[in-house]
Amino acid sequence: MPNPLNLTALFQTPMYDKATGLMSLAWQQYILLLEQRSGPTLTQQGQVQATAPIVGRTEGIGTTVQNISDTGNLDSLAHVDNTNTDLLTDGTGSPLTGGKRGFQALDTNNRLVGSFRSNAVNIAGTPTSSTGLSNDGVSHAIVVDAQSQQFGDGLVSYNAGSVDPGAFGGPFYIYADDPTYAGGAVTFQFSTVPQDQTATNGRMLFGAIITASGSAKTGGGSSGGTTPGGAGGRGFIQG
Amino acid sequence: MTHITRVQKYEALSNGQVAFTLRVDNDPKSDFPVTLTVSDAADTAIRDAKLAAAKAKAEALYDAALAADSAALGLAGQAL
Repeated sequence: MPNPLNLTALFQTPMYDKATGLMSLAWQQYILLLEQRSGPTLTQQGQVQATAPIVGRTEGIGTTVQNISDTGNLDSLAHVDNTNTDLLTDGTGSPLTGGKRGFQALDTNNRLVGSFRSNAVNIAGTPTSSTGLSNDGVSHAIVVDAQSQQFGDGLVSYNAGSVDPGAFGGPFYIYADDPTYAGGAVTFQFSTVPQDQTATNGRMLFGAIITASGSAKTGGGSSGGTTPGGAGGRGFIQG
Repeated sequence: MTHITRVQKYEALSNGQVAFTLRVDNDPKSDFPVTLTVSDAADTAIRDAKLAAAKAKAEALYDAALAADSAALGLAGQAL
């Protein structure tokens, strides 16, 4: 707020009254005005009074800045009104974002709080059905049954679907990428290359199946059906 | 039961395969993913034949799911 004093007129006024020998009335009023303004805001040493209010506020500047350090920084996160890290500007290396992620993903022993916090390629999951893949020996299509897999954090269920490798044979490895354990309708893929099963971190395994013309075959599930070693999931004892 | 089944999603996968998602009667619960080789997907006649087979499977599964839901509610066979 600009200082409203008109000093031009004051400077053209004598500082003392010749008749009385005292300070002139205009200068007395000016001194009074200065005192009214500086008295509540400045100490005898010229420092700002802690009780001096900021325009539009009443708490006094001492209260306003009490949590600001002598280098101008906030002294503690305890003095943030809203501690949601999403509202704070992160620094180099994203320590706030990283801290939030760590808090959500780790338990008090610094281990992952649950299996769903790990990449699918690293955790055990067991199909709840005996078999999950089938082929009728007529069509090349391999039917993937609607099925669930049991993980440490719970069951994840997947819609049925199919893949068609365009030929009989195999083993055909059937998998889908589901990095968030969302379940539902996933895009099934097939391959005859074993390492494709672990080529992506979020890869779910639905097992393998060997197909043959004129003969119905099964695979996947917890047993692998007619396909030796063809069970789905990972990290369990095949039934 | 007559259904309307559409290709809800088409996806060219990084491994060269082609994935379709079929949806029956606009019900997301019916979504049925089908994956074909790129050569089969490129041949219109083969693609249509394989998708037709998948459509029949998807609709059969959808009918079975509806029947199971009705049975669970104890409504099977009841006239409304």
